Amino acid sequence: MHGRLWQWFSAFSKQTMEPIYQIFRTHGRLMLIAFEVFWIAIFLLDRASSGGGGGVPDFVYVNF
Amino acid sequence: MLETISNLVQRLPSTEFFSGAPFWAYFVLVVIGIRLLPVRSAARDAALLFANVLMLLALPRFNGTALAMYAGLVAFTYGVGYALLGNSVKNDRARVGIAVVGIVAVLFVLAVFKYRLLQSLLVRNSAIFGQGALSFIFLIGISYSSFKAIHFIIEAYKRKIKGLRFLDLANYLLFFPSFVSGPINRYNDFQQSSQAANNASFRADALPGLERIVHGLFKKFVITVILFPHTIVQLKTPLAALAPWQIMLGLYAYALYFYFDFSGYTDLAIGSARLLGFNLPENFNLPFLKKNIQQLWANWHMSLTGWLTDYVYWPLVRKMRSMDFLRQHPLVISNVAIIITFFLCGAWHGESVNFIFWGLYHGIGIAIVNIYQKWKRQVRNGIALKYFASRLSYAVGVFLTFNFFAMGLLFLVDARQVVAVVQRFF
Repeated sequence: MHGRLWQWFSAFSKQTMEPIYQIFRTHGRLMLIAFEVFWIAIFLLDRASSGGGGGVPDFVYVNF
Repeated sequence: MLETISNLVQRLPSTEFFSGAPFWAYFVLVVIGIRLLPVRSAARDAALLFANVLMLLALPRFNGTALAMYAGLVAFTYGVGYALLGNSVKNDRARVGIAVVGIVAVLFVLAVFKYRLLQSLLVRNSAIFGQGALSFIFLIGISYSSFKAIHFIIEAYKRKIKGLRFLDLANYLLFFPSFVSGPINRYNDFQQSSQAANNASFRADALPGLERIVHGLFKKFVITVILFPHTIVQLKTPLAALAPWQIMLGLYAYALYFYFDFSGYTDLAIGSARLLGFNLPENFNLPFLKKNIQQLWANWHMSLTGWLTDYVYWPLVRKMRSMDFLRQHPLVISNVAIIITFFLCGAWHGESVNFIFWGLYHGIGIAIVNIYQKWKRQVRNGIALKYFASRLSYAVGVFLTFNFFAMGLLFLVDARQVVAVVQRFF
């Protein structure tokens, strides 16, 4: 039972997961940048809609 | 002329670096201006200096007086470097004297603008400032500029400065991406980078620079915004009234907030410098994944720890090694040097006693790790050796180190409540 489950998992990971890993390996940096830009835009829009200024604290080390 | 430019700049919206829209608008103009100029020339270096000055004047707390003070610092550092690198002073004792006077003068400037008490004593007794000038004069960027100036003077004394040029030194000390909070780069690297920048294509720098800026903006505008409300400084209840788990979670959030805020700033500084054609050194290398506090500090604010190692720790170690009664005890030498170094590191971070305690806490922590490492090397037990090499040992180390770092932040939050908070845990 355990062996079959393992065989199924290996086949699944090879057939299904491997292409996904491949995409991450090839385009990982681009996907990360897109993810970051998306969330920066969301947070900036939220900041703008709430009157701006609030929410983003000053840099901690600026006062040194 | 300078007055006119200063007035003109003062009329434009002032901006903190990397966080406001005006900063990015100015920055785009500077990048276009610098990168469009013909390659390798004094004109390009002069344009960079002009851009540095304009960007500094755009800072909200930077004015003509601050600029004059920095002009004085640049001229003084150049003069000391000129005397040390030239052939006019050959006597070794005279060279030592010049270097010591240079370093003490820079440290004096740092102390005056850093420590309220010293400034108020000097200003109160000064006929120049008079009674009206008793409010604290804040000189933004002085912490990092003075460290760069001291580095330059020491390396000039050792005759390790490869080429002394006024424009390079001025750009090095006033380079706006790293002016406020580092990284603390080295003069020779900056000069080399400056020469390379004159020949590099913008296309080669654009993508890596922009990528780094996006990482920095994500950390600053997304991650720190999420973390900040949960940090211990934002909790409304007094620390002594909080449950231990609430205190720990608040400290964890604060530690992560510190990391993402400062490493975000570093990303923005490195990315911006890259767009201008300069390479700045890295400041962080996954410090919270290190298995002891010594390694954490070797990977946190690396340009500062590198500076302290070169100019405080090693000179102290060398001095102590020359003492007969200490020579046989390398561990004692190392631990005393590290505690003094962190004491000074704490004092540099701020004038209140909290920072001194915080520095000593980390210095003593690293000394304990040194003693533990020495003990570990003597262990011969097979089970213990297996454990030291295991992933479990690594995970336990990371957990304890992160907790040690986070607990240390209590000194920065409210040192008076540290005892009360520690009592809550027992």
